[in-house]
Amino acid sequence: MTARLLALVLLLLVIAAPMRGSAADLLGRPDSPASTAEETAPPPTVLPEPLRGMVAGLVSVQSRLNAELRAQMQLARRGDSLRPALAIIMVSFLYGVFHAVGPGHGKMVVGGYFLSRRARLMHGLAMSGTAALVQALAAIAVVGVLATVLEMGSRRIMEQAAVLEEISYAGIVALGLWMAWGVVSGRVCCAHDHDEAGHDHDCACGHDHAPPPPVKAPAANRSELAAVLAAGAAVGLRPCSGAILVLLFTLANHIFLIGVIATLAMGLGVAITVSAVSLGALGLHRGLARLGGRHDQTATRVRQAVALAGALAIVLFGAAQLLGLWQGLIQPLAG
Amino acid sequence: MFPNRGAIAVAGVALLLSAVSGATAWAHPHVWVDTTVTALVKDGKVVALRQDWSFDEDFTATVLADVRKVGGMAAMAQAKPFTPGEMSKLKQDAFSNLKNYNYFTHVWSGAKAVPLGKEVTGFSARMEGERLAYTFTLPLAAPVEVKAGPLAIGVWDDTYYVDVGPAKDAPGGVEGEGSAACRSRVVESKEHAIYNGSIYPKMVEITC
Repeated sequence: MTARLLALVLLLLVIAAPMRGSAADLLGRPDSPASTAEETAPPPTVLPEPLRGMVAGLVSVQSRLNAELRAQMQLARRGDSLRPALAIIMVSFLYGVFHAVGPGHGKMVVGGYFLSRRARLMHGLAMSGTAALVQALAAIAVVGVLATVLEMGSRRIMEQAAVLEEISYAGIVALGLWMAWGVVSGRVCCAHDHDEAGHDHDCACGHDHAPPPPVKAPAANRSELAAVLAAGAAVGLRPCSGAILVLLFTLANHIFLIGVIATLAMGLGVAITVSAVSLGALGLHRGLARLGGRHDQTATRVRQAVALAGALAIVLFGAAQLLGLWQGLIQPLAG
Repeated sequence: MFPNRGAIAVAGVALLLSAVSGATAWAHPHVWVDTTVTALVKDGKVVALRQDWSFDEDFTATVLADVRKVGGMAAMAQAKPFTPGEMSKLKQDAFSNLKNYNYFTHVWSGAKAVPLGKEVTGFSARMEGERLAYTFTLPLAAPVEVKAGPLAIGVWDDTYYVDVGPAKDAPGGVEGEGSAACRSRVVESKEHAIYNGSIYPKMVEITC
């Protein structure tokens, strides 16, 4: 499975390489707009009020955290070291929690994955944690290698980070295809709720069975866990622009090590938010399955359809992001 | 296990929220700019907008690390003017491309959108303390009568990657012959909510 996944990712990358879209400037704007942006901008819409206020409120929380981060950076610059360093790490953690509610960070994929198939709680946490950790490490590696070793400027670093973003989306497409294949081939058969004892199935979807837990092939469980970790890694490979910027700022201020620790703290914050989404999706799936409650053939069909729809939604999401990036419709690292 | 409907409802709401927040990309902004926009009046007509932009310290540090080979504190402390080489790199990385986006500038006379010129004049960049500052003049495509209606000038980035807004202590105003009777104030633009309709940007409104 892993080998096939890897091959798919590589294939998609080879296709992707010559199609790379244009880069953005330091103000986050693509170099060549798709068209004269102002004229073709959609007519302004306003979110309905309670929602608009909520989003505006969340934006303002994040802006305040960011301002705090900058203020602490300034203190660090002036030579006071320990207190600002601790504050930078703390603020980065909080920033991670809130920042991850925004786009990126894999909520869409993680949510889709756990909404459409039955899975263990542990798998939800594992995928979210892996995604956040890989995302932090990706940012650290990108900035660390490109800036300190290759001495690239911020603009080129953002360009290189955009390549990782494409790999990530290609991986997400591969993940969705693999999930769909699992459903179609009947390997992931069931997404069932097994309430009656003695109900036995040969399936590889790693469920939590109501007692008594059936004996399950450890190999199947391991392969599901491997899939979950691979999915988390694919999702997390897309570096978070917030983390990259913190790293660039700390690098520019000669406190890169603090930036690294702050990025890991931010990753922890991101993990908390993404975990909440995955557990929410997981719980929703179980609840709905239980409300459905039946075990006849129709119910099984419905569950298979849901699992397939989830897998295809993930494929579509990844493909749409990739296409958007290549066509310059989506700014690289919009998150 | 989530055996009861309450838990399902909670999970549903949480998902809905995350979906909504995902749709409205609120992970921004990353750059902050305080602007002072002055409408330049000649013979009773507004001909151009002089803009002063002041960037936040971290964006400044990032830019300096790019255009000056020394990064961090050393670069911050350098108040000396940018060399021509540094200036051209600065324009390339963080200014020239804005012409494709009207320099984030939006102008209305009454309810009518006012077209802007394509090229700015007198661009300069300098350090003001620890903040990078720009000055440039953006002409209107054609002069606009100051009495034609309230002139609303907003400088904002629709994507909210950059949080641009009037400086608190100097939001801007109007100057030139025939502008003595004009008044200016900062208003929130509820008609042009940005960032997928979630943020009301601020603009300077000039009434003569």
